[in-house]
Amino acid sequence: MAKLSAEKTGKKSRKEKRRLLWLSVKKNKACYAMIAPFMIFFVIFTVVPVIMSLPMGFTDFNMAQAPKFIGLSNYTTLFLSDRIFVKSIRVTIVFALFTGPVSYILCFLLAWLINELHPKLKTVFTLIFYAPSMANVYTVWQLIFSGDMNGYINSFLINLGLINAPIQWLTDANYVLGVTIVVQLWISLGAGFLALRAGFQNIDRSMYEAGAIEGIKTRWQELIYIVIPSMGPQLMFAAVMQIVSSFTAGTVAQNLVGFPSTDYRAHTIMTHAYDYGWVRYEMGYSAAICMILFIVMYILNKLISRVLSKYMD
Amino acid sequence: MIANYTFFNQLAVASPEIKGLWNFCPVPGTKDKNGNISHAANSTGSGAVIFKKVKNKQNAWEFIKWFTEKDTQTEYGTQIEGLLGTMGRFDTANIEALSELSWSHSEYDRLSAQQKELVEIPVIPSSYAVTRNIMNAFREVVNELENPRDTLIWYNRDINDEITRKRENLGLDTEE
Repeated sequence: MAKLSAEKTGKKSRKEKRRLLWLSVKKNKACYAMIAPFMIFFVIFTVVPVIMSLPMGFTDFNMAQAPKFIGLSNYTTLFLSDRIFVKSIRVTIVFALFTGPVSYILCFLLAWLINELHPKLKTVFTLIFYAPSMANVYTVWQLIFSGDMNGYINSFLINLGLINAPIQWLTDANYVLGVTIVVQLWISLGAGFLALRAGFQNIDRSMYEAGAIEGIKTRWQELIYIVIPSMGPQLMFAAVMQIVSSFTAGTVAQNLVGFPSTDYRAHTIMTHAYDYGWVRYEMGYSAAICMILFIVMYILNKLISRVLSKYMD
Repeated sequence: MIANYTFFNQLAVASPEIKGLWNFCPVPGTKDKNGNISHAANSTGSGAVIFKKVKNKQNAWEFIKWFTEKDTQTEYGTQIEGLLGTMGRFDTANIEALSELSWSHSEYDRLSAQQKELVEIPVIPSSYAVTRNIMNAFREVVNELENPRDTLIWYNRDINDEITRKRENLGLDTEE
C-alpha cells in the first residue's frame, strides 16, 4: 500500500519532510551557492572552534605538550579560587551595564536624529558616526589621555586651573575603568547603528499618515506606536550585536591601558581568557573561561529575543 | 627618553630635522657609596629552539650555527637595511656582527660601553607575573603614595604564588 502523502492527510511523515526540504534546497540552489563561500569560512573559523573549545575546557593544554584530561578542575578553580576571575566578572558587568544600554540607546537616538536630515547630509553624518568603529582609534585616545602634562586633557585642565599636577589617566588604578568605558562608548556605534539607520528608512510612510489621522500628536507617541513596532528585526539585531560586543570587550582595555591594566581594574573576562591563553599558555583554562562566557551570552540572547518577540513579524 | 637604540635610529630617519641636535647616551646611572656610577640596564635576548622530535636534528643544528655566526648576521643586517632603508637597521644579537653594521664609530663605542654594563633578569616560567606585579607595585606607590616596602611585600606574595603554581603545573620541584 502506497504511503499516504502530505496532500491527503495533512500530516507529513519524516521521509516526506526530508524530501520536501531537499526539493526546496534544489529550487533555491542559486541562493545557497551565493552564501556558500561565507558559510564555509564561518563554519571553519567560528563554529568549529566553538565546538572544539568545549572538550578543551576539560583539559590542561599548554600547546607544547599533548592535552591532559583533568575533568572539571578548570571550572572549580575558576569559581572557587581565582580571585582575578571574580574581579573580572565584576568589571565585565560594570562595563556591560554602562556601555550596553547606553550605547544601544545612543545608536537608536542618533539613527533617529540622522533620519530627519537631508538625504545627502544623512550619508555624511552616518559615515562620521560609524568611522570610529572601523579605525584604530587608540593612538589618538592615548594622546588625549596621556599622563604627562602635555596630553590634551591634562593640559586643558591645568590651563583652566582645575588641577595642579597631571592626572595619570591610563595608569592610575582609579581612572582606568572610566577611561576604558568612555573610549568603548565612542567606538561602539558599529553594525547595530547601521542596521537601525537602515531600519528607519524602511518604515512605511503611510503609517505616519495613518497615525496622524488617528490622532497621534507628539513625537513620543509616534515613537512607541509606529517606529518601534516597525523596527522589530533591526532592534533585535542591534541588541544582539550590542550584547556580544559589550560582553566580549577586551581589545579596548588592552590597547588603551596596557595589558594587564594596573591592579586588574579594567580586566574583563575576555582579557582574562586572553591572558591565560596567550601569556601563560594555559589553553585549557582559557577555553573554560570562554565557554562560560558563551553560555552567559547565549542565555542573555534568549532573554532579549523573548522581550522583543512581540515586535518581530 | 629611555628606549632602545633602534628607536633612536627610527626617530633620526623619520624626522631629519633633529639630525645633529639629538643623540643617544648610556642609561642614567645610580651612584653607589664609593662614587661609582652604574649604568645597569637589561636587554631583550633572542634564542632558537630545536624540538626533540624533529627528523633532521643535525641539519637544524647546522642551520642555526650558520645563521647566527658573524658573517651571516652581517650580510643579513646589511641586506635588510638595503631593502628597508636606514630605518630598518637590524639590531642583531651577534655582538661581533654589530660592529660590522653601519653604525658610526662613536655610536658603536657608546653601544658597547652600555653592553658591558648589561645586567639581566633571569627568565623563569612565570616571568610575566614578575613584570606585571612589579609594575602594579610601582604604580601604586607613585599614584597612591603608599609605603614602598609594604607594597612590595604584598605584591611579592602574588609573585611567589604564581611561580609556585606554574612550577607545580609544569612538574618542576617547588620550594615548600
